Amino acid sequence: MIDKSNQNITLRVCLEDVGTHNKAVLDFFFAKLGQHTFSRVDTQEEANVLIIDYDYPPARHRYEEEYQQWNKPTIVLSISPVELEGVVWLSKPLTSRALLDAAGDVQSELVAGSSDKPESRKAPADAAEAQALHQRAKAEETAQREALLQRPEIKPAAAAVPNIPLVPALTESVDQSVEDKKPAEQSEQSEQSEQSEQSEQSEQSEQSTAAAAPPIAQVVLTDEELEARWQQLCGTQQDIDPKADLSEIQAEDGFFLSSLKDAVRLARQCQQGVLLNFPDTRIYVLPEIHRVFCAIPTHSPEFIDFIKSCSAADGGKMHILSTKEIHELNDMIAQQTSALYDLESFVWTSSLLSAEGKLSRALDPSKPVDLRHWPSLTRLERFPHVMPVAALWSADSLSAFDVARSLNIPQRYVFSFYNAASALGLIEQDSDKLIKKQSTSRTTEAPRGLFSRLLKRLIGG
Amino acid sequence: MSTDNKKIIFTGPVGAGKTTAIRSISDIDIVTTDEQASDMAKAKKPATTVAMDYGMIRLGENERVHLYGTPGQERFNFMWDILTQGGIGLVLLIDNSRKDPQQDLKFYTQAFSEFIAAQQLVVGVTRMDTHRTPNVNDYRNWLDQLRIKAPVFEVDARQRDDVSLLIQAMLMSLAPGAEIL
Repeated sequence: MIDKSNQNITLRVCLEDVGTHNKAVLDFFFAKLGQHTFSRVDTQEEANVLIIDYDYPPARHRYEEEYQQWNKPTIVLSISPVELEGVVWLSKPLTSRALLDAAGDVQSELVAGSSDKPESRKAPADAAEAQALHQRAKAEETAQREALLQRPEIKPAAAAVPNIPLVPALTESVDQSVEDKKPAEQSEQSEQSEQSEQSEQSEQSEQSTAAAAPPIAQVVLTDEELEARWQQLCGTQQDIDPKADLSEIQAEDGFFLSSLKDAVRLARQCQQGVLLNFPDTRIYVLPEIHRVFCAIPTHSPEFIDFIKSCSAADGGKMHILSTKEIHELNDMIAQQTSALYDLESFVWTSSLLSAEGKLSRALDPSKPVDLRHWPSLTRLERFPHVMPVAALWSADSLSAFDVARSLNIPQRYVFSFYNAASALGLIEQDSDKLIKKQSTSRTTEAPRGLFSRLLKRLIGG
Repeated sequence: MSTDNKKIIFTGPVGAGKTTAIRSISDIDIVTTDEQASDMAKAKKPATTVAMDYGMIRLGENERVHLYGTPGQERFNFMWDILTQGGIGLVLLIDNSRKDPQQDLKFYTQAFSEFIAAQQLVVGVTRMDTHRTPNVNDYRNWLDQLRIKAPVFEVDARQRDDVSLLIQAMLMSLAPGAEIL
């Protein structure tokens, strides 16, 4: 139980070696129920409590090695019990109730003063170390600056830097696939490696947890599955003459998409979580962490069925999340972290699946419009020609028909982009409102041949 | 036989992932000029770039695209003008876990303002998986305030695809409608 007398102590918490999913859970908790109890900080120095994921072995090792220096209460996340002095064990999956209970325990410990003494003892050592570091930094900076200024010209060739330490420990840890190191390089690294081992472990653990959690909505598909997915996203509609009847290529926004856009708007306006309630599922729009929780996977046939079948008669009402619903959501996120989507990615995919390549009736394919901002294409479902469309539309005010004609691509891909970018609020209908780039003219034309070859190389691998 | 060379520059604050991004996309083992970090960079990582990183993409026997990473620490900004000479575009990597990413964005876009005006900027935001705010839309709005039009992508500098998409966006912005030969 929480000791109420301790609740006025804010826990300045630093997350150490906590994986992406648990971080998302914690961030949501800190933004909501835990906002008066926890304050997230970036460094151990600022923190008065640490949270560490004990299930990752390097994190456990690092914790055990460094605990004596930390001297701060720690909340340890683990699926199995952990009994260490000054540690509060929190069983995974995380729940808001358990987090609040753990906070109460830590607050009691802080009140007892067990964590303050080590910090105060540590201060003189820190000051001495800081002074030594400062002096060393000045000496190194001077030496480096002189060395650089003496260099007449920067040459890219490897031979130009034979006496400078190459490929240090950090970068080695970042890309573990690069294994073919020269012996000389390895020996040069060893000294630095020893000194930086602890930080390296931190980097590695963060990378490993990030790698263990696949990027949101990323699913590996075969070529056939990819083709099928593109059909789901962009339909199979054939091109039409721009002067022909547009009814063939246009459709009303689906009820789901309209409701979703309203929920996102409401959530952004009030900066609070919004629940969109349907009989089959509940969609939670969470603006603080820029995510959406939806229990139905967006790649599944069930999601497509859901989008197409839901109607006003079935629900679609929305409201700001209550405290009870936030509790429930915390528990659901802990149980099903894969159901947490990037907000823009969810709206983008929902928009594409709703429209199937048909243009919203609110959008005129003959009217020139601009792309205000590129969508974040690294985190969105991509379909053929999406990047050339973004580039062309970002450069010029054009109609959807003009874009398709200029790039010589099927109109359905342009319409799909138009729909999805509009749903994200990235299309500017009024060119006068557009931010114009302050640019100077290039002295030479862009080398299109080289660009094309480089693009081919990048796309082709 | 002449060799046709072009440059792409990677910049951004300490620890944003410049060296990693170049390593992700380079055809060669990258050349780094890292030294043990001795100042506030140490809080981020044990070693930091002091002169430049260098990588390369080979397009054929006589055609290369050089990838240069600037040192992140501001005191090495005298290197930046040298490195950008002849560059075709700038990849600005911003670490979303830093205290004030908006200030970082402002600082680097101002530092490279002439180059950005003449060429093309793309912005990659790293560590967004662990630090969800600010979000990509915030960066877009900040760029609007700076009157800069540039793609902003969430990236993981370790992922080749992410870095590749950033460069693709840069190239396509420089030459919209370029055919892929």
